[in-house]
Amino acid sequence: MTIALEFAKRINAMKFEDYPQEAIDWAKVAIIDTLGVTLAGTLEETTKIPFRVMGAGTAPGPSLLWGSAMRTSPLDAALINGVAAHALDFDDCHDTLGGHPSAPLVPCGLALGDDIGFSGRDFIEAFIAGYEMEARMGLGVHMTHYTKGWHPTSSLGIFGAATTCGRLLKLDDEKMAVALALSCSMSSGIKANFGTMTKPLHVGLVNRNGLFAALMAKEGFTASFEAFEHKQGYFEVYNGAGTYDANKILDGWGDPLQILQPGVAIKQYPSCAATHPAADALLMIKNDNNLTADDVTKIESKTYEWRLQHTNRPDPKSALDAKFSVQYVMARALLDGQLKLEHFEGDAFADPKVKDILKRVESTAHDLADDRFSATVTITTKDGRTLEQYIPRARGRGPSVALAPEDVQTKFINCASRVLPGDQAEQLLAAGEALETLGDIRNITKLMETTKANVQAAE
Amino acid sequence: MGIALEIAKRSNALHYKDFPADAIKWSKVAIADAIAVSLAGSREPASTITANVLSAASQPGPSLVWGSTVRTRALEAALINGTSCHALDYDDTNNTSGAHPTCPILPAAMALAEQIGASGKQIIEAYVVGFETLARLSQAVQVEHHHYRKGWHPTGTLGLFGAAAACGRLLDLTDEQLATAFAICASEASGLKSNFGTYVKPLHSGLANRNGLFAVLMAKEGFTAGAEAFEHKQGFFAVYNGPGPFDAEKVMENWADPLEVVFPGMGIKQYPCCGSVMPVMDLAIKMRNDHNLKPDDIVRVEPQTHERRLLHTTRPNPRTSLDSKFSVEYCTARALLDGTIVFEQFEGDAHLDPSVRTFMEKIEAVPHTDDNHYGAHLIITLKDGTVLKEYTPKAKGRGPDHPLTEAELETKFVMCAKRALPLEQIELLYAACQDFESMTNVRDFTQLMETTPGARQAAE
Repeated sequence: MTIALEFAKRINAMKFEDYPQEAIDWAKVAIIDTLGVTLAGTLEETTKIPFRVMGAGTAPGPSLLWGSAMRTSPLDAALINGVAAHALDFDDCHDTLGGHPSAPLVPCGLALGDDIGFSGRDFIEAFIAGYEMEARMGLGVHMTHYTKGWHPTSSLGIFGAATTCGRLLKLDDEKMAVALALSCSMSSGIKANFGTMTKPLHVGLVNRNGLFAALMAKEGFTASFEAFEHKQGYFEVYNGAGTYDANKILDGWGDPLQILQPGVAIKQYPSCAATHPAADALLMIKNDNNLTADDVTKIESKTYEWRLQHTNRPDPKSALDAKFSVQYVMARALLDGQLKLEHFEGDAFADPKVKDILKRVESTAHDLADDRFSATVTITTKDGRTLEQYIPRARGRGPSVALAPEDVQTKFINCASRVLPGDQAEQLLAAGEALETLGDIRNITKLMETTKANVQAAE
Repeated sequence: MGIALEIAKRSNALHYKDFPADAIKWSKVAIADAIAVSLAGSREPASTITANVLSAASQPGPSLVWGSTVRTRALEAALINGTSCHALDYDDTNNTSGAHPTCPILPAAMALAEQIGASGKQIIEAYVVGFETLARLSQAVQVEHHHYRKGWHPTGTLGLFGAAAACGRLLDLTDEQLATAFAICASEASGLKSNFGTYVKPLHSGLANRNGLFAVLMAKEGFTAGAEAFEHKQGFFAVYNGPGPFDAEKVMENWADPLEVVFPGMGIKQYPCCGSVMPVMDLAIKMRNDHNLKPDDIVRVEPQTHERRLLHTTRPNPRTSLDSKFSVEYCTARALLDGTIVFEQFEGDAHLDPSVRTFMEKIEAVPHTDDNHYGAHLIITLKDGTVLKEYTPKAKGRGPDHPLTEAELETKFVMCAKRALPLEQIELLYAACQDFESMTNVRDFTQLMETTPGARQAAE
């Protein structure tokens, strides 16, 4: 049997009733978190540009553009809401994917839901299947795929998007295999475009393309069942000979589920995840020692070299650049004692007080391959003390260091209430927490609809 | 300066008024050819399924879905028409890029042109700019044909940059905006050879059109992308080619001197069969006509093509109509029996025709070992013992030094267009193609590509 078919059979064998309760609970955490950061992301210029380009509102359809009163085609909604989901880079992460697992799945799934309708339980079932598919791809192709320069959220996320939409469309094994094979010919997204609006665009495209692949397969489009393993197929072309192992994707499928192990990582701070352990370490030293910026003469950080590669930005030139700057994140945390959306907006990156601290920051790499998620921060104080903190793993980054439920809720309300009136945000949170009992998924998007009046109320 | 900006500056420096007459002439040949093969391709499932999924009719806009009455947004039209253009694999080719040069560019340019009401001159200008960008960029990644051999489908992975250059010209993007559009393209490029032989192959062309146009629309609205998207260590060159050779300098060397559209230009496929058997078709039809050959006069036929070509075209017993397009034995028999190569020979049960099958028993394909893999020999032995031999260095149409005649181009145009349009409309459309540069508004032109339900019945 070909690999695309092997995937399809495993995907279609996944059933809600077989999922452990824990998996359902984590799925809801991930989905709620995605709804929150996406709503906040709708306010970004990054989202407004594709909104204008698509002439959203002029192309009528069933699917809500979240945080607005406009509805459009599922494909356009998947694109625009997908960009919003990653616009702030505040969405969840996953270790084996090496990227953001939920942003490629939720916008396209709900855009399709507005069109065809299904239950909350159906959505969770399809979400966990898509999550499994994209994350397991990471097992087979990393770290070559990651270090080479692909953006896995996009280049692997497309398989998750196609899987989730394919399950919701009830594709049989052959058609599911076609959707995956077609996705092989649409996978894209390179890291050279990080630090620009094109990074969140990757996620918009992946939502649109995954949904498109599933819809095309359903209508009888053909694609090669050998698209993955062919000598000019996905593995050889995207990775290269000797740098992948398809069996690692296939073996042990769903046991345990990827959403449980290594599990969901929620971002506590609205910056690139690779900056978080350093932020945790810095805040711990600051809080334990009651330091202010004036007390500090030097800040040194050591993080994993592959992560430092894209977060080494000693003097960020834009708000977006600042999100990827481990130096800025530490400077800002030292100054304000916290990291909020506002710190990565407008001219905050150019704040003279932060610029002043940045002169004292030095970030270098450690190259311990088995210590990819850690940071060591060393602060030298004016009075001559050297304070060091090692953080093996940022808070929120995985079930072993899970955020408390209140932290997740607080983040959600902070994000969602940028767009929705407070009581509507609360209702949406409650609906998300009871997602498996929801009869019609369209009730979720209804709660993300705004009228002019309630937008004003939110502002 | 980043490479994206370097290319953008060079692209923006190209203007219609500076183009040599040959560039206009060849652009018009390619445009007419692409329009015709797209009309024929619009009836293929790859196109109709795509159009259904996009529910094009429910998203009204200015841009025609060719061969229908539906007008939709430029992005959807670019995707559907771009798929149609490559659906029959009958569109033009280009040796530099290893891509089909027109199918990823023209549908996007035309769809956008309809939105802004552009003229024929503007479209030709945009097409030449797109062609140049596509072909030049390919020189950087096709060192030793690496990009191609690795498994990328250049029509998809390089074609979108051509579409972006063409659409960027129509919208008068600044150098910086066009550079941004190219950088966005670097994150959209895709298309794998493992999906050849399925509907996904023509879809690659549709996606190249849509993605190139989309990148331009985004850049125009102020979207941002990496300034070093090509040369960055995690950029287009390193990620798509590496590990393996590429040479960024080659993009800039001798830019537009001569224009790629002039030399090496495009190859036009005369017959609706595999390109590797086409030189044999030229010889077979010529010899049949020169010697007034009748089937019964012939006892043995030996087509000789290069072994690299024969490998996938010796199919003495084609089992399907698709198979028959790649069978040098079947195609040679048809050319000698019918004196022509047309769509109908590759449809339904035509490949099972008993008189053809009987004749095919006289044919034995043999590899030649000439250096020139484009060349073919044909040796025909007659009943009276006469042995006729002919050679051609390459198929007619394959490059500007061996062009098709106007009559041959028109024959192909009519054969293709009549799959979607009635004959009197085809005459008007063909005349409009000959006069493309004097057309003031593209909407007058695309009106001639509209099929009304009545006209479609007449065509069928």
